[in-house]
Amino acid sequence: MHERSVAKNILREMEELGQEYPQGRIAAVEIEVGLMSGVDASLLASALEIEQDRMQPRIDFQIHTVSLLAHCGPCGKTSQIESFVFSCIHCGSQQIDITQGESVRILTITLDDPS
Amino acid sequence: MRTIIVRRDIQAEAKRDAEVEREELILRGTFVVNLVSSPGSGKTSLLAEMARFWRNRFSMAVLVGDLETDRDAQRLAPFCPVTQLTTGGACHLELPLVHRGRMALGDPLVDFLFIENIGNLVCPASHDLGEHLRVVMLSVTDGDDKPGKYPKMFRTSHSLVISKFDLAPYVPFVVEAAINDAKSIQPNLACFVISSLNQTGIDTFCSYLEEQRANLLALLKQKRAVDATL
Repeated sequence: MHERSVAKNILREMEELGQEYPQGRIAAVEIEVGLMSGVDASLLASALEIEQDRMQPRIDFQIHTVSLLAHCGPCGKTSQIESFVFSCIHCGSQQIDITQGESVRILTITLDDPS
Repeated sequence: MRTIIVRRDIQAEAKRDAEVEREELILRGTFVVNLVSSPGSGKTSLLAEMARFWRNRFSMAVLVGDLETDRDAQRLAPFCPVTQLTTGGACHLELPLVHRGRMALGDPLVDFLFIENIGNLVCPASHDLGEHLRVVMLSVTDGDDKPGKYPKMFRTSHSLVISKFDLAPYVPFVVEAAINDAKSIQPNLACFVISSLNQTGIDTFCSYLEEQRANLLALLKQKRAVDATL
């Protein structure tokens, strides 16, 4: 996808979060990049670095990729989807719903103590 | 230092907007289809044939997306209301542009609104355009091994249309192989084989869309009836 515009989206969300949590400055952000989000985690890190140049002081971005998880309708268990083989690893059913790995999420924000 | 768990999807607002669009359109009877494929698989040709097939029975309008030119809009203009969306560089359509295009077309009250996406099996997979149905098209000249290479696109689609079947005798494309590959990613895909050139399979695909629209409208009617009793 377009990591530069994803980075801008992240910063926009962070501005809103900053208003929701005005108790301190956002010093660190943990970002989760789903394996099927269409976004490349290392390219996103680079894009955020570029955006960082305009931000003072720096924000610590922790980015990690998360795997595809799916819930199986028939057996009720959760499977980790490997190599995009979309079936339950427990019972083999294809009637599964993806529960993780399709999006990019801001997981946590860390606020500086107010000085 | 205080760490707060927020779990915020960065596309949450875009997804909400798409949901609003989706609901608004079906409430007035318009079923929206997002048509995706590689460049040149036959999206525009199919739309022209469908407009011809449905003339006087179902109304349709098209929002066609390209980086440049209005060639596709010109091709479709004789058959149905159409507006060209040019991105100037973006390789996928996004909802704001689609919404503006719909308004520019006069927000027509049609049975079917088609969004012909930019020819690209990658980026459009990640953008909800407020559609009720996503149709991925694969021509016999594209190759029967493509679905597995584009898991997100095939996973997020509802229907697969295999096009240019008139060329099947000349290419090593095995329909069953393509369908099996696609269904290993999305088992619920409704699959169709068409030839716009020979006008075959168009009727079957149109019937499928008519049924999908009718089902959704019936569901809405049911929901309204239930809500009225509460």
